[in-house]
Amino acid sequence: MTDQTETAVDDETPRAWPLPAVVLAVVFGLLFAWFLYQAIGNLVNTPAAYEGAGFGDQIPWAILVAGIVLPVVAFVVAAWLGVRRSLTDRVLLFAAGLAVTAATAFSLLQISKYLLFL
Amino acid sequence: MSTRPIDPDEESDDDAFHWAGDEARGQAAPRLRDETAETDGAGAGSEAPAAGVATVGRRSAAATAFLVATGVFAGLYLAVVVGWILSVQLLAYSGLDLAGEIMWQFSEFLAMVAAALWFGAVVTLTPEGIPRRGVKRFVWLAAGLALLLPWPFLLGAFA
Repeated sequence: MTDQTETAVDDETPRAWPLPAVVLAVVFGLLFAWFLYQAIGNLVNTPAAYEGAGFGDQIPWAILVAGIVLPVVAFVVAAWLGVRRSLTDRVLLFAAGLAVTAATAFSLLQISKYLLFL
Repeated sequence: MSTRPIDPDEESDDDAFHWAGDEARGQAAPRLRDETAETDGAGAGSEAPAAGVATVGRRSAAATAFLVATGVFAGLYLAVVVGWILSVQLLAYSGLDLAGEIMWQFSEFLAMVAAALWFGAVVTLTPEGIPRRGVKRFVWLAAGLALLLPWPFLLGAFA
């Protein structure tokens, strides 16, 4: 009897992170992680490459840091907004967040090239 | 008169007397609208006195502005989608590894659909009835527009 009552209560107030939502977050997390990995690679390698090419005073630190921050913020915001929403809504949020991450990565790359050859 | 058989796909005559956009201007045929949204004399008479009528009228104007603003943003987002489709033409992967190439292609696809996804997400997640709906919808739409400016195209076009 007690068990049944508790189940009913659980159904009415959905859990913040049921198992399917966790799986979804992990799958999208891997895709977000790719962009984070690329951005970390940029932060590690770009300064040396700039200095090697004689542009040591033009390293775009703000862009390099933004590239790392954006995938993290996009994932966290998408996950946070999806709490207690349907799986469909969560997919939509993660997809929009991932797409924005991809677009901003291109934007940052192109802005850094533009600044270099200004 | 005509001996032509009635086309099952043909829509009813009522559609011929209906202009697209009538709903947005509050001029749709009465039977297409529910009583609560009715603003003109006939509907107002049967409702609660003065104050009630004013409230109904104001809500309808706000709903119209909400609809028009969403439409304006839809147009801007469409422009951003076009901007990103043009942008990815200007980009090329400089590496040689397969994984990087695959993710680059996938990123280009994502960049092209990003504006549509963002717009869809905002409209879906700000349905009728949530508190502060207008603020939520338009702040998120404006934020998405700022984030999704197609810089590769903008810098390429004006460089």
